[in-house]
Amino acid sequence: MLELTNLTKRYGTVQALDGCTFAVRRGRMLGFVGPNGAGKTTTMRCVFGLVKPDAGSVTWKSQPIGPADLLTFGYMPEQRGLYPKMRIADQVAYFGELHGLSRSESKAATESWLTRLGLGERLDDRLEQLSHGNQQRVQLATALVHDPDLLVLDEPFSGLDPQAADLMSEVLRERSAAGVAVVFSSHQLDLVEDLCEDVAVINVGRIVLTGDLAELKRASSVRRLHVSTAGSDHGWARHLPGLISVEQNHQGVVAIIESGVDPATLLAAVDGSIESFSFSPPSLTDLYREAVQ
Amino acid sequence: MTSWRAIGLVWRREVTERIRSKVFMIGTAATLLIITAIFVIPQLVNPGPDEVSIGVIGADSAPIIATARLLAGPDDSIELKVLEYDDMAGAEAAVEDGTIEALLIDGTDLVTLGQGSFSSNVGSELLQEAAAANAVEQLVAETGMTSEQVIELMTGELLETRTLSGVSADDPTREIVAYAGLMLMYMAILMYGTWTLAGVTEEKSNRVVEILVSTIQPWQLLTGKVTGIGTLAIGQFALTVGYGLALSRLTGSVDLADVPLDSAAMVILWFVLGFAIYSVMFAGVGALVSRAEDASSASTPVTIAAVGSFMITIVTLNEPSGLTAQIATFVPFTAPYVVPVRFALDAIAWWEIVFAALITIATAYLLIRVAGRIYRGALLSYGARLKLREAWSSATDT
Repeated sequence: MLELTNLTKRYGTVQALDGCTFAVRRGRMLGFVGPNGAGKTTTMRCVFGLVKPDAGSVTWKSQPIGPADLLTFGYMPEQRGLYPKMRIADQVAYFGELHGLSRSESKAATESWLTRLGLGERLDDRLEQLSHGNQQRVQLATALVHDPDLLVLDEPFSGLDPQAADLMSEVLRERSAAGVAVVFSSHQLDLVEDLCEDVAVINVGRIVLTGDLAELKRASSVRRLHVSTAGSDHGWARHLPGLISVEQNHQGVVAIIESGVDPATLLAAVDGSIESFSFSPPSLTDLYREAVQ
Repeated sequence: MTSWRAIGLVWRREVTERIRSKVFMIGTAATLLIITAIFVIPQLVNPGPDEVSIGVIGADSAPIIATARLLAGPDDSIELKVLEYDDMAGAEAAVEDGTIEALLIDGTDLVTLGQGSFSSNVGSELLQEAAAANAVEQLVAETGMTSEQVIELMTGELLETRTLSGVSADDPTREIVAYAGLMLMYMAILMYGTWTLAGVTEEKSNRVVEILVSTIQPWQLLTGKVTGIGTLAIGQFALTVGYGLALSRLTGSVDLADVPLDSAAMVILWFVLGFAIYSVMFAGVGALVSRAEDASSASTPVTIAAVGSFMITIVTLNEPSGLTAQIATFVPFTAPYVVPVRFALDAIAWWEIVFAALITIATAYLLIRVAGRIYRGALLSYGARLKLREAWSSATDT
């Protein structure tokens, strides 16, 4: 388990981290979300010693992280970068060896991962000959080639087309199922909701919400109501019991309601012919909005 | 992973990727081509010995001409051509149009073109020397000496020389090797310093650095890079120099004596040490900057150190056993220049050589650790150039 405890970091007058605490468990995937500049990248760099926090600790298996541990981690930094003129198979194999694989092990793992990621025909191409999306795949391969126990990925989905994003999701799910602790940052909340058992929401350097996503939803003080009716007059929505906020769109009314309210009273409050009605725990987006506002 | 393995991996990547690059291949080929041209073209343009034409007119020229032929050399290093003229106008016209370099009149007067020229007038020099030799010969005629004996007396070294160091004064080869080594090392440091400088900024400009430094220590990366680039630089340089030496032997265009082994070994050892310490300094500068464009201006202090040390060495070696020479021996930046020359002049003790080498190696190691720390500190400041103190203090640990 990767545990970050009370990390703080100040750059001049900017408080980048201000009590950042969460844990990434093996065999589970954690989505790390928060507004731009909230401290996601700084937190991830702390894991690799690239940033030294002013206070707080980062531990892996309850021990401070040493050079030997770093070899069992895989990292996709926010600043993507590889050697442009190097052949991609040589490149990935180089990083495999740097992480402690033997030359032959690394070569085999490289070929298997690049083939898996759809680059099997291009092993001898130089990186600069590849499209941006394919370069991202090579970047992922360098994070995976040494079969790490912990994967830290900074915005792995940014800039990917839907097909590549599906491939990325599939690989991450599979690694997680194989017992790897996975943490990735993203702004795509529905994607995080789809993939992750755990989440951590960071805002202004502080973790404002973290834990098992399903439990967080259950424990939330709000519920999400989604109603569509035949008519277009939704004036009734403003008078729903326990109403916190309401939005109207072409699919109907989406309202955030206090969790104690009986759904039956809500159903009764709807004016018009109901086409669909759902009353459910909040989505990650709802939790995020509530936590970050 | 051990440091050796990490450094070895970086070294291997550096060497294989650079050898594969077109720039390296073309650069090496072009250098060899230029060396070939330097040695072969003069051979084609100037195939034979120097030819000197002089003219004579009037009487009494024969004794001077005979002596001049002796002076021109038994090995025909100068081929003397003598043309006889009957009328003064024709002879002067020949001087005018360059057919002859000098005209000897009655064995007493000399006519030359008299224009300023970069090439000395070999003809008139020869004739003057011959006339002087004949005059001396006449003075000593009573002693019964021949002109050959007089010339020998005038040009030979009459005093028997014995040196205290045991190095033959007649054999300047050791000194030549040491000074040539000094010059070559100086050239190599300045030429290849930019390789190291650019090489060390490579990971920053392509941003691969974050993955690398999250895996291995910055000083391991820097050591691998410096030794990898150094291997290729020294390899290319040795190939160039070796090829040049081989060509000069083949064409005979430069008269090379056999190189004394101990002096050559000392020159090579200190070439490597000198190259290493300056490479490490260039690497330190590369560690400080984040973009290749900033690197060359930031490297000025290192270049000044290299040039300054070279100049100090040249001055110092007028007195190779003097105090400044002894101090320079133990300063790691001047030692690589000073030690081989002092060794060649037999003005240094063995313990001094060993001690100087240890100081240089220790300094190089220390500097690479410092450079590693600076590298880590400057790492995440993409963009502006960092002040040395900021980089140092923002580093975590190396």
